Amino acid sequence: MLVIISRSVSGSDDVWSHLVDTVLGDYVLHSLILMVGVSIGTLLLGVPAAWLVARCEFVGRRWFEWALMLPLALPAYIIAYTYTGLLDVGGPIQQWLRGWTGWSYGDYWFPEIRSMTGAIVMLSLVLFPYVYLLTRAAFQNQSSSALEVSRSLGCSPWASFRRVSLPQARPAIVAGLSLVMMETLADYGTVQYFGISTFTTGIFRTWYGLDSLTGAAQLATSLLAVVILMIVLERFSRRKARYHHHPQDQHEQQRTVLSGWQKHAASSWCLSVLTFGFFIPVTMLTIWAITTTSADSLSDFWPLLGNTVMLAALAAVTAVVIALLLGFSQRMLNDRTTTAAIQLSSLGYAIPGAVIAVGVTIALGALDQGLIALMTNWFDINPGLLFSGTIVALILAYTVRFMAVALQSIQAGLARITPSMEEAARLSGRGSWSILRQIHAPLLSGSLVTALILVFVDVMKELPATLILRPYNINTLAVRTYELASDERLAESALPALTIVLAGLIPVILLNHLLGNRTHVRTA
Amino acid sequence: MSAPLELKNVTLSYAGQTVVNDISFELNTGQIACLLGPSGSGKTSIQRMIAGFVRPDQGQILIDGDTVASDSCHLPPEQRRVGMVFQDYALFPHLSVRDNIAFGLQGQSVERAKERVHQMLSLCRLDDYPERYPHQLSGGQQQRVALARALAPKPALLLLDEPFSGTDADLRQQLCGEVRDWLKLEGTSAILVTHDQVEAFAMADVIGLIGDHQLQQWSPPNVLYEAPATRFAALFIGRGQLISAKPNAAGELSCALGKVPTRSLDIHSATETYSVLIRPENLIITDQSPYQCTVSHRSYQGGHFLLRVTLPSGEPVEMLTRDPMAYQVGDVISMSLSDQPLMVYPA
Repeated sequence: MLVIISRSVSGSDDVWSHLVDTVLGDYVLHSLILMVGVSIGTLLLGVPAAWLVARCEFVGRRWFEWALMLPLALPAYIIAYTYTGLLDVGGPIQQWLRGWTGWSYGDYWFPEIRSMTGAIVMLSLVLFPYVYLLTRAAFQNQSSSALEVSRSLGCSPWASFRRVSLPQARPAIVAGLSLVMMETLADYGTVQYFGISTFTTGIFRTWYGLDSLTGAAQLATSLLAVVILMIVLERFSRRKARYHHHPQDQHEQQRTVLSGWQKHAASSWCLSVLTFGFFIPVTMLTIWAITTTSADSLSDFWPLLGNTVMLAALAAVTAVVIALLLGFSQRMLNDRTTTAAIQLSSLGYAIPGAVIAVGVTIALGALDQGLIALMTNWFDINPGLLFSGTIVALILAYTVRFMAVALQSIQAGLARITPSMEEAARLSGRGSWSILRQIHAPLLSGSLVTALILVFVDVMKELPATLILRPYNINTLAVRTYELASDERLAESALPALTIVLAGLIPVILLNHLLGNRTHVRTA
Repeated sequence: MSAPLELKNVTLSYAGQTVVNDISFELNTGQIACLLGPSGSGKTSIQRMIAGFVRPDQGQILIDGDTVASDSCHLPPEQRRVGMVFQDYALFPHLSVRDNIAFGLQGQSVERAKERVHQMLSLCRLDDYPERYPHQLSGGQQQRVALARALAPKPALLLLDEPFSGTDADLRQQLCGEVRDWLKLEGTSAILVTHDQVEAFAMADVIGLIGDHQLQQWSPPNVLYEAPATRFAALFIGRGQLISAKPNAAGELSCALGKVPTRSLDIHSATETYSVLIRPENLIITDQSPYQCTVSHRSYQGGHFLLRVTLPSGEPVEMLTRDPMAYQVGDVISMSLSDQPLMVYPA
């Protein structure tokens, strides 16, 4: 991150002024429209669903409670490809429409999916679970007595919701929204495919089109500034959310039992959100995957899967090992430097993959140049570029980007081992090594596995960083999906896409399990 | 036989702030001592220094006659033969009840360890659940496992850090009694840290009252109540108020309720003011008294009424009465001091 900023400050070619004159305005405007649109979309989808699931009782509520998280498994670019394939001129829907009515292309109006609106809808459909999850937790933690007070003071249920529940949930909603906006800014696949110029596509275009790494770094810096603003927003509202939380009143809330049409409206609302956000795309992908899979495409698929698994596993192990070191040093030293290091390394998750890729390229490039100079001076050997363009660069980028994920699980795991447990073990005559083996290892194993899986799956899904940094001989599922979709071979992209989605389901299930456990503990 | 624990002039400070100021005491074998004091008084720090998690800045700590902490040495916790029951119990969640209890028994022969675990299980009445995990136990059961785990290796000294704070009042009463019985049965010397004086009175043979980071008094519970050594002790322990008193011409001490009965009078100056500790049982209602006092507050405490009464001097005191035709707020009553000697402190 520091590398990018310094490069953009020191960089002095005129690409930047060129960018400012021509496209920067577009980038800013489009990114802004996209952020605002997706925010509204996720609000409309997420908040009502959260309220219904948290405070009402209707058919299928328990099932919706976790099912509404499913869209998280779909990377935005995959849902974009799927809907394009479905709704495009040549797609099944329009074909059917023409066949049924006898119209031909141009006779009728049909929404254009590859547009700003389309992008907003696509991103909203897969990103709303962030708002849903945080808001639901907020609604669930609200004491029902506050609502009862409001009712006894003469407010209708709707007015009570508006004046009591919603304001209390606002910090959580804002926190969810800032996550949504970060993801929106980081998105590359969707906007690139829909032909919308935003910061991320701008970074790619400046780099590859204008061949200006400095220009890309400068764009990345601007993007970074916006992201940092989001982080501040998120931290700020989280802190408030914590402040508003009253752990002492945890008595079971009364859910409003919906009756008659309300009941059906609630169920069908949740169901339709889920259908559009998950079932339709996944069904479509499955159909395509089945119809297009042949021995040929499979022989193509296995090495892709192998590469992806290898990269993801390497990155996961690296990230978890570093996270463990950081977690333990924080626990033992608990000084300012360690805390700062941890906070800095957690930032990676908020930074778009494209920005990280730019940073890694610059940093490793400089390192390589330095090494070359050193080696030629001292040993008269030119080792060539050692790190740039290798797997090392890719793993480094993944580790930077997903460190926060690993760190969070590890820290959560460590937090469960209270200092007094360590002290109790010491008083039983155990040395440090023996405590590590008998207390930490068994208690941390669950968190370690969780961290590994989460990083693994995130790496599988990551597109922009992979696209920029991958060595020429290595291809992954995400990149292949992107390539096939760019070549308008949407149906063929289904198999790799579906694999990513299936892998993406694992963390959703894990998350659900985790949340489930927590509520279980609370009621016990 | 040397004392299981001795502290000599132990001092500790964090970041320039004195937390424990020059504390010395000695525990007798098999004795249960209680460090009592408000939160933040430094009592937990004392315990952590004894356990070896914190090193004192000055002073010396001896366990069973061996110096474990001094200017020149600091024995690590695992070598001190000290057991500890933590406030949050700190049971190992991945180990069963049996394995938790057996955790400190490594290095002993398998048979002996097994026998000791069995003994501990029956002591804490968990024979039926040796294979259960901590989260499957009730709060009281967890507490008993934590105690059994700490007692199993037969420590020279057992430390208990607010062990009953997580339990509700009824259970606390019951646990206090049980834990005291077990410690006596095992003959273990123990130090309990608490801020709850009811708990301290129920458990302790001797109480060390900690206030302002200093040891205010080290004495058996009844002495602490009847003869608190300092103003702090007088106000912290039990019910009671300090009212001012002055020596009169005859050299006797006199307060708003007349002559103060004292055990030993050491009045140095005729002009100095003193404070007298008045507990509810030191006051009697009698028509013979010339001192008219007004009832300002009254509450029923089950079996008796607690009255807050304003003395002629305007000072408030509290007293108990069983009188069924209870006094009402605003009533004027005549009161005097009983002839039990009172505690006097320099003002």
